[in-house]
Amino acid sequence: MIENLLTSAMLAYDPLNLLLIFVGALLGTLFGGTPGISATLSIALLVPVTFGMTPINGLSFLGGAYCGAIYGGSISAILINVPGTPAAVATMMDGYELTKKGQAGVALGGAITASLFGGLIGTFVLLVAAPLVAAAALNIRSAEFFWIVVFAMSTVGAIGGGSVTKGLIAAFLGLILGAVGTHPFTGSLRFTFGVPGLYEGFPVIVGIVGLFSISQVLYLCHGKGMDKQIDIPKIGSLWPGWARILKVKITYIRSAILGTFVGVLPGAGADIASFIGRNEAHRFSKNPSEYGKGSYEAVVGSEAANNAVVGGSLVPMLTLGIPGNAVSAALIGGLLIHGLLPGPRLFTEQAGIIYPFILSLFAANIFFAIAAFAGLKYLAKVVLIPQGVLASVVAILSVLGALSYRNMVADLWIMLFLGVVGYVLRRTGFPLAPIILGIILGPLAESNLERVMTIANARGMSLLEYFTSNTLTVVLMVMSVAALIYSVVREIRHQRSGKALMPLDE
Amino acid sequence: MTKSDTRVLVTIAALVVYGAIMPFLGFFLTSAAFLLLHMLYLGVRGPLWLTAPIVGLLGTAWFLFENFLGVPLPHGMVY
Repeated sequence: MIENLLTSAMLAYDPLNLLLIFVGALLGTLFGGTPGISATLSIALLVPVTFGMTPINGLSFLGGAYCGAIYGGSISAILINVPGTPAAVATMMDGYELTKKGQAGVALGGAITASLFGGLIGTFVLLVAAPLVAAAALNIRSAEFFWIVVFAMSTVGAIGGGSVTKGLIAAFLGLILGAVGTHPFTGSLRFTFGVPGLYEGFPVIVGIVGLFSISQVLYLCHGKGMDKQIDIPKIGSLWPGWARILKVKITYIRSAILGTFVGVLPGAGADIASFIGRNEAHRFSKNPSEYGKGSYEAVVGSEAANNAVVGGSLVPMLTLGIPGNAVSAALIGGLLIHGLLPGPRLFTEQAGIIYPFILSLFAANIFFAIAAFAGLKYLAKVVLIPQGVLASVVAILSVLGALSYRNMVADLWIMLFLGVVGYVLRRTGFPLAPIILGIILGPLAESNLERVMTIANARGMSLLEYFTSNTLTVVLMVMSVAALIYSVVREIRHQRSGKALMPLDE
Repeated sequence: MTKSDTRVLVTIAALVVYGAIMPFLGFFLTSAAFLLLHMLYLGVRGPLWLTAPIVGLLGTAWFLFENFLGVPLPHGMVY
């Protein structure tokens, strides 16, 4: 084990790989810092760049971008009161207040240190937990796996930010899209409408580029391309000082742990983690009245949580193939183009790739922190890019992403179609992340269910009899139903209280 | 229909035309034309903002995909 880690570390920290992690972290920070480009988009747009790289190089580069993008969102949130990514919405509330008081540097420094700390903790948990989960998952049988997938889908409504009904509808829409293509057992074609590009189903990366980035292009076209003058406030010293950091050390730790845990849950991502991190910091705070008026503790509370999500979200993604959020779903696209199928076998058959990738995330966190401390003044310039330029550039980047996947012009039309669908859904308040979960998890659930049906048939049992003959399956069934009931209760309570739910989508 | 709805519909139409023309003109020429016209349409002004994205993005794409990564992009009659 120790020897393996040393070999992996040598692969992860060789000079070329370190350079790629650094470039990835830097690009991620720039993309994340740009209002309008979320972490999901950053990954989806950068996946094609990794085509010609070795799997370790490519994944390390994307991992760097993931860490950087989640951090980067805080820059524009703190400086100009516009979240760079939805994960930074919670940071904005106190970060911008600090900027108004002339303490932008303190808020930015708090965000860097908290993101670094949260990111390292999340990665550490990933390194320790993932092999254990993977080892346990090797013994999971089809019936249990099917219900794990169902449970993952049912939590979408329970934890997600927006309307539960709409979240579940979106998840079902994803399942339908996931059914397109060749039937996994019989090989017959479903819903392909004679389009050869659909025979293998909706390609994950084309789907993500379409749903997230083309719909975002259309959103960016809402306003005038170039209207108001943006001023970047004076930043000042970034180092918050040990006194400030140690005073809220518990908040750093609590949010990092909470963020990792939220990351593991299938329905929730960095946006929700940052809200939870901030809320819990508020609840345990010695100075709760400062919240909303420029509290350093609040910035730390949200930022440590959202970067901890990175490591957490990769646990179910790498070990089970169940992405913890939309960003890691995009990362699955990055794995697939290198022929890596996420799942428990990754840790035995592809250990030589997966461990270096996990170890590279430590470097990624350190690199975005170094880049931010050294050059925040320059990184912050991305907020000056006019919306019109962004809209056009993201459109062409999306085309690049769709075309380079398999060089088929049909993918361009699939992308455009999903883009318009995604736009209409977002306009009407549907979250997009559950759709991607559905596209990825649908086939996974189906192939396991087919296997279960074959086994149950052979034993002369009905499906329900077979499911209830196993304790773990029953536990998972109960958990799925409980998650659904909880979602419905939560929705009803929210509608009665009339309070706005927090925004979804990364 | 508001002004922003118009901008969205025009953008969708522009992307459809883009996809229809690409097999003939190739990725690079079509994209350059799309970027310039779309940015002008959205109200982007100034020589730097209108040229830097086209040169920077397509230059990087050309270097990365065609030379470095060896991933071919659709070519047309001219390039």
